[in-house]
This record gives sequence, structure tokens and C-alpha cells, in this order.
Amino acid sequence: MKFLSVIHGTGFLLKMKNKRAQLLNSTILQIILIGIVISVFVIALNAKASARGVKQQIVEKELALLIDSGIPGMSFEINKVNFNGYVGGVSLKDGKIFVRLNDLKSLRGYPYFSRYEVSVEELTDKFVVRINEK
Amino acid sequence: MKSKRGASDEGLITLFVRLTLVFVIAFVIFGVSSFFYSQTVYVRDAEARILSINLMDCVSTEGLANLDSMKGFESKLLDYCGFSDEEERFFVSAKFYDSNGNMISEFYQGDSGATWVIKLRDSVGGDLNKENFPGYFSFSGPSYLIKDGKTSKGKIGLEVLVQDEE
Repeated sequence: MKFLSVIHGTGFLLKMKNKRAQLLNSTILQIILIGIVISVFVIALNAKASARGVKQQIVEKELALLIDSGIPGMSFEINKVNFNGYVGGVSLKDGKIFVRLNDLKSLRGYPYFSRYEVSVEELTDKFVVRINEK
Repeated sequence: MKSKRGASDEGLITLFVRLTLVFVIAFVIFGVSSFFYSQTVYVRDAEARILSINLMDCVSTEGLANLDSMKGFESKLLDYCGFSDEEERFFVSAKFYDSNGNMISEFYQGDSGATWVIKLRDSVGGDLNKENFPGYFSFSGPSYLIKDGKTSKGKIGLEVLVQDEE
């Protein structure tokens, strides 16, 4: 009887250890998954709070307005190291200007209107937008 | 066995519920912060003003508007001035008056339907939110007009409306 009770007791202890292990595994898994969700959320929120989109918008629209009001012979320089951040690219396509600022690519761009020919040239430390007669 | 299955399923359900709750809370906070931090800079009024200056330079060069050379462009004012691909966003109108104030010619291009929004805004008055309205600029001033080979004093009335870029 004593032997049986010892075996029963040992079995019970093993069951309790397995249950504790399962509980620990489950808890750790939940902590990891929730941690992943929160870290993705913090990264996304940081991108929004740094207002990269607003700065990119400002640079694009300022350039569009400069092109709109430009006349042949004018040129505008945009330094790559800019007050609003690092300008990685300036391009013109289908009557729109696209600016890549702080590694944020412009998806929609902003339309400009001009009667003249507009071109962009990339130099070592700046971009130059030129307006010429058609 | 049933109890054991029930126990393991209960753990999965709890995990699923907790994760869903965390997702929902994170999504709500992210949505509110996106609304708070995202700002749109509106430059439509500035575009309307710049376009009106360009049109004025086009139709009245050095204060002289040659209506004879504009014949055939009554509904294509932007095309006449060399803005070939801009019809969709803009409505432009140039009206020419004689010295008695009678309108003798009108040139326009675009959809004039949106001007009712401007009239509504002006009639309501107050400090209304600019983002809900198109950009608008109107101008009138004296000019010499050449019509049928004759030069006379007159007046030009310009109107430019700029819609949202989307």
C-alpha cells in the first residue's frame, strides 16, 4: 500500500510539473506574440509621429508651385541635405513631381502646370530643376 | 480525455481572445494617432492665383488683348495659352467687356459646375474650412482690346477654379 501510494504521489507530482510547464510555455508564447504586435505598432506609430509624410508633402508642393510660376531660363536647386530631411530623389512623370524624402517614396506625387519644358538633373549634392522653352 | 482536450482548447481560446484584444487596442490607438498626426497642406488657392497670372500674361500681352487671334478657342482657353493637359483640374474663364461694361467676348475651358460651391461659400460667409473647397481666384482690370481690327478700351474679367488633385 505504501508502495502504491508512493507511486501515486510521484505520478501526481509529475502531472503537476507537466501542468506548470504547459502553463509556462503558454505564458511565454503569449508574451512573445503580444510583444511582436506591440513592437510593430510602436514602429508604425513612430513613422507617423515623425511626420515624414507631411514634410514630403511640403517639399513636393513647394516645388510644384515654383514650377507653376517659373519662366524659361529659371532653375531651382534642392540640396540633398535639406531642412526637411534628406532628399533622396526628385523626378517628373506625367505632369507630376515626385520627391523621395527620408527614404519615404512618393506614391502619388503632386501635379504641376507649365507651358514650358521642365527637366530635373541630379548632381552630387543637389537636384536642379530647369525650365526651358518648348 | 475530453477534459484534457477541453483544457488545451481553453488555452488556445484564451490566447486568441487576448491577441484579438491587443490587436483591437493597437488598431484604435494607431487610427487615432494617424488622424492626429496626418496633415494635408492645401495650396489650391495659390495655384489659382498663379494660373490667373499666367493667363493674364497670355491673353493680354502688355495690356493689349487681341480677340481676333483667339477666334476658334472660345471653349479652349487653356489650349490657346499652351496648357494642353490641364483640363480636368481647372476651370478658367476670361470675359472681355467694352468701355460701357457690356460683355463682348468670353473664353473658357473646363467644368464650370464647381463654381456653385464658391458661390455657396461666399453666401454663407464665416471662417469655413478651406480643405473642403476648391482653390479660387478672380480678377478684373482694364485692358485695350483688338476686335475686328479695331482697338478700343475695355476690361478683362478672369476667373480660375482649381479642383482637388485626386
